[in-house]
Amino acid sequence: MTSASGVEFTHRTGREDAGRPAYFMPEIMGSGVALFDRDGDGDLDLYLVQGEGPDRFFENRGPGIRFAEIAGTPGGGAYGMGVAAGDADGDGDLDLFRTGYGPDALLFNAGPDGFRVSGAEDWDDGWGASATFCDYDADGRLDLFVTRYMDYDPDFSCFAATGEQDYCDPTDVPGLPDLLYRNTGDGQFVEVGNEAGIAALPARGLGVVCHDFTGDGRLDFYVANDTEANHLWVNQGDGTFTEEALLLGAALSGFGRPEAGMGIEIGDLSGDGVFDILLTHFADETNTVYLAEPGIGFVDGSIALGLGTLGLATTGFGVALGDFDLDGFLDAVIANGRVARRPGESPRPPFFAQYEEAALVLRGGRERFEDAGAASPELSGRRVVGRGLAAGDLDGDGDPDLVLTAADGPARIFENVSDHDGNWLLVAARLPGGAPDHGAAVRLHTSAGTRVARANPGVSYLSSGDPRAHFGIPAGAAIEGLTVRWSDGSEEAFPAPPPNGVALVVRGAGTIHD
Amino acid sequence: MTEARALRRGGAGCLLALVALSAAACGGPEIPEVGSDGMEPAVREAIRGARDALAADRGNATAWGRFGMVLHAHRLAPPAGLAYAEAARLDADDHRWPHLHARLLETAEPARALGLADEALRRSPRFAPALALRARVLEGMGDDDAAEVAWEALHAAAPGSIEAPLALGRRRLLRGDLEGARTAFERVVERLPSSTAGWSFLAQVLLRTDDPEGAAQAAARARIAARSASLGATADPDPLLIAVEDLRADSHGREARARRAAASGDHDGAEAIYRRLVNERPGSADLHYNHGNALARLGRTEEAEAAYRTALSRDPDSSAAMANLANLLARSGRDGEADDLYRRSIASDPGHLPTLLGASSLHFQRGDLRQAERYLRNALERDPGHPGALQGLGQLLATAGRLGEAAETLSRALAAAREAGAAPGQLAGIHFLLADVERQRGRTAQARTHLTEAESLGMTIPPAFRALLEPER
Repeated sequence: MTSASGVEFTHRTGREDAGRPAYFMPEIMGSGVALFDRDGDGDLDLYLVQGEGPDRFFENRGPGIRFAEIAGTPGGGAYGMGVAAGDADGDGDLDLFRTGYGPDALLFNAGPDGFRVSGAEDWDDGWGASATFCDYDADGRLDLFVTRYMDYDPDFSCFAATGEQDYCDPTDVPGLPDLLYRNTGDGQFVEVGNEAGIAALPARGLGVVCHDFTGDGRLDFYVANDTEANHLWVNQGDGTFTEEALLLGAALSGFGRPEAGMGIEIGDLSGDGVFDILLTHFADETNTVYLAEPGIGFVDGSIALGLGTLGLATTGFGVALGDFDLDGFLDAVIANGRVARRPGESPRPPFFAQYEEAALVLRGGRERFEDAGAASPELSGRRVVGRGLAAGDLDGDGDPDLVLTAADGPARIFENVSDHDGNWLLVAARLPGGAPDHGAAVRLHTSAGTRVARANPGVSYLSSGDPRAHFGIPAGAAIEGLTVRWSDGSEEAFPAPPPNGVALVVRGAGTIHD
Repeated sequence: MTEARALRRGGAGCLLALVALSAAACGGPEIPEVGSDGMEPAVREAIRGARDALAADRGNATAWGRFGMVLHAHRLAPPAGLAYAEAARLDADDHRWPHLHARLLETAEPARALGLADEALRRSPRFAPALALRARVLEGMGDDDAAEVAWEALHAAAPGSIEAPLALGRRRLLRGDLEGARTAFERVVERLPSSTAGWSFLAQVLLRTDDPEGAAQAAARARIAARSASLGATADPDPLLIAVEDLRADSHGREARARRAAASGDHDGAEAIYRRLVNERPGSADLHYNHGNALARLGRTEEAEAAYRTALSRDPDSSAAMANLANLLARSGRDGEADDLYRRSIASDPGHLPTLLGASSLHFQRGDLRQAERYLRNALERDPGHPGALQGLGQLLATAGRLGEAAETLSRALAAAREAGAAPGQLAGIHFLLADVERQRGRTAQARTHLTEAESLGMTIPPAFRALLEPER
């Protein structure tokens, strides 16, 4: 429904541009999307990162899914990759951080004047991938974690087993340390990766999520690394982190192998009230679920959840977990697309067609995921080089919609038209200043049980989704209350909001019903 | 999605079936044509060679199998599968062809791969790689009980397997049998101290058995292994798959073969491959560097020096090339040039361990113990458990007469070397140094113990030290 929505955007790789090296790796990695309420009017606006060329910004002009482009969007300069949304300068509105192959950039929200760019010279000029805002030191200011992919030289050529040139296998190129920027106030940031210990382990980082994985009240970072052990940076509370994924069972697959980590989502997939991790991977690898065992670590639950074979043939990137059909169980959508041609294939026009794959649509249930592609033929039946994916309620009807980006393809918006008889609740968890509290976790108590959801937009791949916690509530279940665990580790209980609306909860200030 | 994929696979299966049917009608299938546009000439040539050999003897199972292996080596899966199938049909006893066919389909079509593994095992019931493949596929398909039986079968057939105890440990961990899991993972790291997975799983078990200190130590070992060893060492080597990889004719495949040759001590073989590769890819600093290493190992010093210098002309900041060239020059007595290179390398990468070790060795040889010690301590700041650095420091301290510190440092070197799975020669060397230090400290019994250890590890004890052993005999 992209044209009807008013959003017309095609990722431009620049492959045919004069002087561009063949098989320039950033072009196959695609770019991301951010859903965020830029103008504070309660709906989600849309920012699309461009590879070669300026980014595009679309304002939500609902009812329904209708957008209008706002001209004059900055971006460009660096070859665009990812985007994260957060209140970087503490003024109550949402800013953006844009990563790229080349200088990253902070885009301050300048209200009616659009965006104001913080100097590119302030930021890293390597290959940035996913980023997330998150107040790791609990000082009330959003800090920033940026994954860096690899130390790539465009003149370095790579070849398939037949000797034909193709995009590089990640193992051909060394990784880079990720970056941690501490917010020192007024939108100023200082890179502290060395002091924090993050810089000690270079790797090919792609996805990142910020969450209190150890339950100690401090926000940690989990990083999906491509063809290397993943990192779980556990916050020590003194500005430093220790890497504990190998100790806690979230570094390698259940078979003990490093996998090609791309995108990350978190959600309660086992129904025990604790956040689990879902990672997307290369073909021949599962999309892997690390089930959390509180106080102990994680175990690979992919096969038990039905992911042993589902998605094994495709290469997953962006990922969205959400209760799309409002039945109380999390469903999943995975954007797929190859990074190399099939063995033995020679390049043929149209060039990127050989890298295309269809998205995977999975319906969650009490025990296992099932392939639900047949119910969403537009999503699962059309092959693209799928990359960024963000979920959010774009039309305000209470169910999550999707925005999918593709390398060398159009960004597409999928309105959720699932049949359902359930109810829903969106919870906007805000700090006293009005900005979303990234990293807050919301626990909803209903007569059908307790569910948790993140109020954190920084998931998936290169993208930023709806910052509000979304709950599907099975028909007949009644809301009994909700509890928020704020990003500073404190917990606060709130009375039951009515279903089918947005509950705005402000730390220390009670609930406002929308 | 699943449905669509099944249709595609069904379509491919029908195509193969049709070919097979026509084969039966005309005495054998057509030899598959493989489009070779864009392929590297060496790959085209390898495929053509195998195809011509097959065309000359179409009823020969081995020729079909060999053709399949060449295609498999270049990731040309559909025609490789066809070739393996015909090889298996022509020779109903040879387990290689159904096994390789199963490896080809292991992740893409697990159910078919399972049938082929069963066929390979019918032909050779204790063939460990097929037992392992069968177990992996069953586990991936979620058939836990059958997978467990299959892993046990592998364990029984191949007691030296790493993959079986790793898998059995994982399954015990999932079941909550922590003691059983611990035993299995301890077996893995004992056999393969560089197993990241083994240490990581062991850490997870220890964490669950309220041994946080042991867990942290195991996790630290996992991290070291992840930095320094192949993370992929979770599967036992499959000699048939290695044979397939050896048939890769593309330059990157040959490069991998050269690396394997060098690692196994076949420096002549490695040198020959690198010599051809540097001609094909003269701009690659890595290839010139590796060629230099092979030449240095063969004692062809002048050629090695030229190769390292070419590598540095391609990548002037390569610390590895600077360090190895400096080592070569130091061995030739060109200390000044070597020292300059070490300094350049350290300026480029202050934490480059081989450079720090080489520079220390140079200064040690020149009698500048203070500078040598400084380099070694820098190295140990970067990697406190580096066996080579600890051994070097122990030797240096002994030379400086700081015998107590030397004994303590060499004991740490011995523990680190054991943990890292060092070769017997290195362990023997550390025992010998310890024996000498203890002898100088007048601790004859301890000296004798270390000498005995060194001798048992294959070291020839110098005559001057033999007297120490005598009272034992």
